[in-house]
Amino acid sequence: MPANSSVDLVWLFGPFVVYLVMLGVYYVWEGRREKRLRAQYEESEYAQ
Amino acid sequence: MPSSGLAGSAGAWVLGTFAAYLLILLGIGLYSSRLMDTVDDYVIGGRSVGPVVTGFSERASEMSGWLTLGVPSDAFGTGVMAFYNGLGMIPADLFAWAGLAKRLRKYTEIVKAVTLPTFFETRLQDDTGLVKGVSAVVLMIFEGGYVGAQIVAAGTLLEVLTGVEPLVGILGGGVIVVGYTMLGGYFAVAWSDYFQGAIILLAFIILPILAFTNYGLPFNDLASVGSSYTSITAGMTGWAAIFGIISYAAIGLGIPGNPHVMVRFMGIDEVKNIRLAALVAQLFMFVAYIGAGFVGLYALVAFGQGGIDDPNNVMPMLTLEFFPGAIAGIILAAALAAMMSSADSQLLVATSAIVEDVYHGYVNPNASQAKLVRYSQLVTLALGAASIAFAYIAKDTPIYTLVLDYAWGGLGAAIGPTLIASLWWKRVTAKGSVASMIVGTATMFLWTQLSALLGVLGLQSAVDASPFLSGLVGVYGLFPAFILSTTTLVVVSLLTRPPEGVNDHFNVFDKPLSALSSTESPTGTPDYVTDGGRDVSPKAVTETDTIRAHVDATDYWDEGDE
Repeated sequence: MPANSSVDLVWLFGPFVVYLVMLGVYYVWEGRREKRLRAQYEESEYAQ
Repeated sequence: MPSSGLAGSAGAWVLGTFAAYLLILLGIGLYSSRLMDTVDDYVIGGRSVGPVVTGFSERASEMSGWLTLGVPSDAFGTGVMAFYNGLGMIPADLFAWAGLAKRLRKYTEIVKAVTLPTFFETRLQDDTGLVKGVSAVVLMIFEGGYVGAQIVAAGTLLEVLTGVEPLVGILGGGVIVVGYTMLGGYFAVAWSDYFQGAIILLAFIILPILAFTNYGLPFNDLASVGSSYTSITAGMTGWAAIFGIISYAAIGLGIPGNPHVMVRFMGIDEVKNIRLAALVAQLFMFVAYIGAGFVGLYALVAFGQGGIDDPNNVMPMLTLEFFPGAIAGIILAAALAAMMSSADSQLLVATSAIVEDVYHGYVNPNASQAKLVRYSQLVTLALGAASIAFAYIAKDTPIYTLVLDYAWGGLGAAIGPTLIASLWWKRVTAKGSVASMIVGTATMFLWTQLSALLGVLGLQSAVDASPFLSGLVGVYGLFPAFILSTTTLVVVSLLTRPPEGVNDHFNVFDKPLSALSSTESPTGTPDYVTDGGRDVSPKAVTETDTIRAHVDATDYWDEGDE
């Protein structure tokens, strides 16, 4: 591997690490959004 | 016993496994045929396919031979830059799951649309039929063209591996693929994708691990072969490097416009399961792209530069190097089957464009479900046969190249911007959408001919003198086509009158599906909305009762089931 290998590896696999973090954020955020939606829905149902 | 192919004595295992595999697929088709009552069942599995199968299917139907053979081949030829095949695809797919899947799933169920052209027509309130017609034609040409190409490619690979005449693989594989698709529709297609995807995924996990235990990390060996192999730009600099990376990233722009991917969102059983399906599909992508890249790199280490005559054989040769005959046979048969798993999905989408969009939409709007299913099966048969014949006979002609080479990009540029805008932008209009589809398709076709055109006009030398221009002309056509298509969509939409009552349409997106049961809605909401295709006879007389009954029936809000 050339001298700048560490830099290359960061550029090579860095985007995939970022994508993995994005996936985790989406999974957690979407779960919370579902819960919030449920809470809102139940609230409006009781209101009727 | 065939032994003249690349696989040598393992060729018998390849053939045997492939034959057994095709028979299993036929069994899946036969079993699924019992579940086929309506055209919804045929085209999107009655919206009753679970999240894990949907996640696998979404990936397997899209990746096909490109992942199993193309990415390893690319890594063998260019080095570590081939990892960038996933640079645009992975985030684009996440965007599709996060931003499009739920909206598309909810809306298409509310309006009872099972195809994208019908969805466009309803959402854009197009009475002229132009949006539906143009999108259905684009879809039929490109998806239909894909079908035969995949099966012919699988037949050719079978010949390379085993020495068996390609016509045998094409006819045998083609008959089975068309057969089980015809019998089992979306159910059969999704479940076969699941098995194919699982085997391919295992192969791309185990192959690099086995290679690692033999060679360690490949980077030092690659550097000794050539410095470009360890360069993230494959040795390119300046504008060439920038446009090279843009080309890789632009592949992802095709995801929202490819209907065989989008129908997976429409076919999932319940809206809340989309999150899990997204997780499955995304993890599949990470493993597959990185694994496929390493397969190509380790092949370079194992066989050396120029050690493999045809780069398409990189994956099969590394498989044969590390696995005993029987296991290699299974993996290589799965690689063949992966091509067919894309063919079945595309066949189904092309069928739906003809039967649901054209026949049901224009010719006979009152056709019964039984008739639509029967016609769908007949069209699948006819279209499958015609596609295979076309691909086999015309494989060396420019028409074939046009359809195949530009299918992914053509669909991406033509359909993608309209799909995204329909789900997110209230101001989009039918006219803007049609203009965008025409500009997107035309740009995709013309961009690759740009070099020839510049040559005719005598401008090639001027372009060559500018690194920016030569990089731009060589960029993957989907990049400019998507930008031009989107620009056209925005400009024409802003110049034309938007449909009325769009706010009501958009209300659908932000509510749980089970809460949408009003017959008063201008979206044409049915009086009892299903979730997961499980129709429950309505017993209530008021809207609130209907909602409660539906919630009970679907267990949608059960604790701990998210």
